[in-house]
Amino acid sequence: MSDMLQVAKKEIKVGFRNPWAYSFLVLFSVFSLSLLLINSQNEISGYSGVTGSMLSLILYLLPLMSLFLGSFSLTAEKEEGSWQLLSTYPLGTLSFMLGKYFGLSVVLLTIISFGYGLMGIVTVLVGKMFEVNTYLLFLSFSCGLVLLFLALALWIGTLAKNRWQALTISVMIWFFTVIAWPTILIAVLGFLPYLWIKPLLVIFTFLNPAEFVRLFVVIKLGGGSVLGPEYYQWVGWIHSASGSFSFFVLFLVWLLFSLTCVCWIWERRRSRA
Amino acid sequence: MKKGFVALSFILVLIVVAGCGKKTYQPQAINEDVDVCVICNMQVKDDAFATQIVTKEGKSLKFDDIGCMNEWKSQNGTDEIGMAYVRDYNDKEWIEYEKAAYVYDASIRTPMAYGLVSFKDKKSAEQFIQEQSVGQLLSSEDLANHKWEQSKGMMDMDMHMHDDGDAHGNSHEHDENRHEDSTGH
Amino acid sequence: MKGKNALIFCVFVLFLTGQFSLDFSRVHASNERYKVSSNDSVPSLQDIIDKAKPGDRIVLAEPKYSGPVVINKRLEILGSENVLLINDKPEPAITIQADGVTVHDINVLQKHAGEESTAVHVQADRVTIRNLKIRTRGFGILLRNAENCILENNNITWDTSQGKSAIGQKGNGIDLFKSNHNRIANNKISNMRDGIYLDNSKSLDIVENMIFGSRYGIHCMYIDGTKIVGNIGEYNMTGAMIMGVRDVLISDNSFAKQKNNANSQGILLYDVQTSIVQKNSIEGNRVGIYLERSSQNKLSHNSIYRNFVGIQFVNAENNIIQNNDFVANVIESEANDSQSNQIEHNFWDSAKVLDTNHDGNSEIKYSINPFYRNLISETPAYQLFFQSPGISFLSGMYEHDQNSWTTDSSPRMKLNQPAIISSTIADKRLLPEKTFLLIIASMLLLISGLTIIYSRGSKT
Repeated sequence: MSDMLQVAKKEIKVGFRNPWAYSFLVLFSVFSLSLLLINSQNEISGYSGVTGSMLSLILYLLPLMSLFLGSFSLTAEKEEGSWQLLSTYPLGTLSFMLGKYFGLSVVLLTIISFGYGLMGIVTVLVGKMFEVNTYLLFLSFSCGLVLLFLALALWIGTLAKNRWQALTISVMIWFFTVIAWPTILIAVLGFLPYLWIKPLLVIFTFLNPAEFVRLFVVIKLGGGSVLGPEYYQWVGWIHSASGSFSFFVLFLVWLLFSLTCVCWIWERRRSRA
Repeated sequence: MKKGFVALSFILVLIVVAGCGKKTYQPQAINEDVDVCVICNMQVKDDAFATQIVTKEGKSLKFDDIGCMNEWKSQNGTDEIGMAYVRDYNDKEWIEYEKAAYVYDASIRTPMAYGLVSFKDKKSAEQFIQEQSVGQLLSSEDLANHKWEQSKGMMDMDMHMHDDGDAHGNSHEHDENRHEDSTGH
Repeated sequence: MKGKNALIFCVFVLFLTGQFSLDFSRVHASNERYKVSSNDSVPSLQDIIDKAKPGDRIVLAEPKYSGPVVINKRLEILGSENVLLINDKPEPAITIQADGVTVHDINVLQKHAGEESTAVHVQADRVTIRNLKIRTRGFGILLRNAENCILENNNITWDTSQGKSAIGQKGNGIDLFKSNHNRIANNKISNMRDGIYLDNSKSLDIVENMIFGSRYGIHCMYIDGTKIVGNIGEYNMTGAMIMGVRDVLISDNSFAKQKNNANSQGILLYDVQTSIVQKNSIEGNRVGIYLERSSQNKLSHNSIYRNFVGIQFVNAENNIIQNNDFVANVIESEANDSQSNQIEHNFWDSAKVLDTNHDGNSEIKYSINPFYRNLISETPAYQLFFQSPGISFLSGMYEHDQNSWTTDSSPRMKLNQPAIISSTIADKRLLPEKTFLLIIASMLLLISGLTIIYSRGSKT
């Protein structure tokens, strides 16, 4: 436990010395502020053009941020040889990985909190309407998105040999999950019988954190009906309290699965070495 | 959690079902909350007038009146149709379009006023004609040459059912107007 | 109510025979011929009407009467806000068969449920129904072959005292069939099937009604020459469902928050010709305006705000769409098979605009990319991708054949109308909401700032 805290503390310190963290902080703050100010005559509540473009911004920026910072941190351990050193100590792999994860989470969540804090204060000062529920929903789902992609980042950091590889894989994963996702799915599902499309689409959606977080936010913002009659039951269910609970469970399953796998790989490598 | 699993296993079952039963078509149940007529955008009521086309690829298209289904056929052709379904007037059971018997009269009220009702067999259709003392018995082959006229002004039949019930002497008048309308159309 | 019950009230009936100019004092003073004691069981209104002569004015003073009632001579029936007509029979609580009848200020409770049940049934001309508060388990007010009637200031709601009902089991609030030249104004209708249903009735005036929580707010078919002006519809499945009409005016209405059903729209126009839709405010709906198979209509000066889809064209040709404002819609417009519309001078807040000759209009055209619409009309399952970043990317790559897209030839640089402000959340919650937001935001900023400073500072 104390090992884990030590690793986390070190991670936080290193994280805030990393210029990447600040460039993302500035990018996120500037973008979210300008989005708000462009639509300055409109209040921000429910699912509308303003919240829609904010959601897109979050989906573009936050996964990329988590993937970069997370995977770089792990590959740095390998490149700088500190993991080789640490593995000779009686430090558990689990403590190490969890420490890494928590430390990086603190760094990322701080960046997000800063951005949202600034956004909230500026909206109030400018005299705009920002519904508190919508604000909190955005905040919590930005955090969720970051934590999920951080787990993915640990995967990348594990599999990549060095920083350049991590960068390449990160961009690839980001492009695949955020931008190319519909294109690929439409292309693949087009070959399948019509009746398979919807169930497979739903299953694939569960596998892509960017996609299920986006849909969850859209539905929670009251925009579920835009998904059409096909998903009417899903929308009704997710909109209810049990939907939020299930989302939380899905979130946990995702995190636990990724972290367990990553730990297992590191453990195996360690024992081989 | 449980619900999620139920949903997931449901999907898996769906996939299996979809994979196995490829060439048999199944009509879907009507869900009044979300089903709207493909042609006229009106809510499809879960009643005897609802019709349905299941395409060859398994897509289900629902209509609130057999006339709207006919309209779809004339727009899109019949090549893609796997099976068309109508409902029995009496017990709302889905029946295949070809196997059903039909009764037409301009005064029969249907949601989009095409004046056609469907029955699972000739016998119940004849019985209906006897009870109503109007109507012309048609088979699905006869429908190919049917004129598909809408009696303007008597849409959404159930909304005017009470005219029949209140017997204030004007329901007869309505009937007459209807005949005029349908001929003038 | 109970206290008043103890008192003995009277029913005053006055012979008027043509004279309407009678003051109240005389009504009370004149006669007590039809006095009914409230110690008896609930008096039957029919008995009172049977005794009245054509042209009489009947003032109801008892708190309760029982229905059903058939009015077959010209009468004026007047109650007050404490007068309740209860009907538990299947027949309509009030049936009006004589021309020129006036009924006002009565609470009506139609207890019988079902498709055949209705609170007020009008089968005569020049009938006036005003200030009625109707609770019903069937229909509200029905007009059949009734002309030149006035329905004003009525309040029609679904009776929930006997449990909830599915929307399919409900009746319509106001339902017209073959009834021309009627005026329906300032009525408030909630939780019915269709708020105002108009069928095969020409030249109606539908003015300043409010409809909430119903299936279709205003639903009409074959009502040529009707004016629908100043109505408000909120939280219905569809605000106005306009089908199979020509020469209709839809103006100054407000349709907001029609978004909860997977098929909701603000205004749906299907098979509508030569009609005018103008100055409406359409806010927060699933689809703002849906235009299908309609031609030669003019849609102008509408404010279309915060809808999931602003306007949607399906097989709509030769319409004029100009000077509308599209603001903060998630997707501003979708179109398929609708090329020959004249679309110009609309304000699209996401359009790329450039005004080189300073005439207030952009020289860059605004085209509606049909990619997503085509995709989901083939496979509705792909609606899961609505506004996903990837779909914007994919649509962006699909740029060929732009000439056939629905296009605004010269978008406006600025709003055509003053901006509308959402009516529901504004005002009263504004201040605490802002303070709350400020507190949360400051705390977030403070904590994150402290974390950064602390972890940079502690360098041991």
